Amino acid sequence: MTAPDDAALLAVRARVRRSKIDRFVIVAMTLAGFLSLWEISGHLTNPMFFAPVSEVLIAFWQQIIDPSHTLLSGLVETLAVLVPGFLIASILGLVLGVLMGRSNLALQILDPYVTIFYNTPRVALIPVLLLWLGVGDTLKIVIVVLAAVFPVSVNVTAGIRDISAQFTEPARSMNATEGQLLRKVILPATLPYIMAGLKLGLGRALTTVIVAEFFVSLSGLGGILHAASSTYQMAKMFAPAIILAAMGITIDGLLTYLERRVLERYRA
Amino acid sequence: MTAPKLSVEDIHKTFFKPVKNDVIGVPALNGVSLSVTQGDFVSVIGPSGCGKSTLLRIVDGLIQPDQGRVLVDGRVVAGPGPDRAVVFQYFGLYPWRSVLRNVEFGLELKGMSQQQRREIALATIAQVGLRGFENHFPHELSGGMRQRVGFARALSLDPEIILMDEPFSSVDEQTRELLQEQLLELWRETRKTVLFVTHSIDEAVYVANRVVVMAARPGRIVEDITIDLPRPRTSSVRALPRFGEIRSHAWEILKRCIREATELGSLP
Repeated sequence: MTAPDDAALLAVRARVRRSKIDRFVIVAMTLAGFLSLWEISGHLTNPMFFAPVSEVLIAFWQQIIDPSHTLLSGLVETLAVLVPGFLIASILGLVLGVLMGRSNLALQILDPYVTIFYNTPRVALIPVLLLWLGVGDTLKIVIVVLAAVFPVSVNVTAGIRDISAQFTEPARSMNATEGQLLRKVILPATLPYIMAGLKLGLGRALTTVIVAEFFVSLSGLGGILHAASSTYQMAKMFAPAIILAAMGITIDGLLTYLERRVLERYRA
Repeated sequence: MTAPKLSVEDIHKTFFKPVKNDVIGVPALNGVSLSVTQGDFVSVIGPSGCGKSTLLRIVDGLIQPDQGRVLVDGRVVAGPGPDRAVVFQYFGLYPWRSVLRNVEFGLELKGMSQQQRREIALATIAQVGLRGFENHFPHELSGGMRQRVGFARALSLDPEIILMDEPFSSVDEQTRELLQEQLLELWRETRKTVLFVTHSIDEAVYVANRVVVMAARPGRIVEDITIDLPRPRTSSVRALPRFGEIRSHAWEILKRCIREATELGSLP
């Protein structure tokens, strides 16, 4: 490599490094500003409605070291609904989506119901389901499933309906059975849609599990949130919210990672 | 005279397409008959809409004719079978599979063991000159290389008849001539029976023993030209006076068909 090239390269590297530092400074400064504003306004307002960030963090820490582990058991309770609910919704959504994607009859019969359920607010179903299933985790899981299943199925159906004959025709020409076509062609070709559906479903599941904990029986992180808010313990209210946000970001990040690994194969 | 390898008997096919609140029938093939002997190389040319690709799909069994039948070695074709393989204009590769796994695809569908299919796939990849690219993905290859993968996949199935649907029309001019030469070499080695659909008169004359000319609306065969050019053929064949004669003869026929169709008012 010749000298001028090296100089140019170094200049570009320096510029890239500088822009990284700039970005970091901007983020750090705005964050500091935001936190100070929070702290100041927390001291100025009625403690029944707001708490400064320092108190929030102290309360968060106290809840974590609390020997009765309320926060931890709340998290476990929430996960005990969220995880099975989301898993069932994923599998059910996939099956429903494939059925409606591959069979015109299934599409004609099921599409009106899917459209209705997809557009009904899940909260509106809770009172009815409460009467049928009673208070308990079963009910909460069912509500989560109802919330997450349709975003998955609708995306899978759309993906399958969108598959080009350029994928199916060669397989048919090579005598693929319907099962082989599904496993080796249709599902891999629909993967981007499946992942998009799962992410949408996850978002819905997360919101719904908290709503269900509010409405059905005060348990889990939603229950803690509700208890803190009804006793005007502002600082305590933030802990479950922070954990929920972290949970959402973690699972979404996991799905994104999975998606990227799989989609590497799709770069056209 | 020996029995034909492939015979197409009086094929009729009409497609139906919805127009406003009604359906109209578009005749694609009207009484097409063709007979091909073992090891022969037959080109089919015609203007767009003459049904040449439909004819190829009927021979493969991807489309059922309304009337008439296709026989391979005297047996009626009911659907796709291991005695025929298609090379598609759009290559028909799966972007999430490597070159090796794309070539293995047909063998995998047959339920062949991994070791066995790998052996065959590696051999055919070498045969089409793609050794060293086994682990590349289709998006990393040029159009010409992709079609060689498509060709290797067809060869790996060891069919008796290879059906080629405008296989070189999505690659550039120079690559096309190289692929034509390579195809002729492979044909000389393997002695497969080839049915080759193209819209290029030059290509049809260069590769085939016989050129079948089709007319549109409705699709039918209007001429069957025997190509008495010497073999083995290289691009120098194109410089022979005889090549030019045959080429302009074929062009005259095609031109007449197109003019007739236009005068009938069925073309824009």
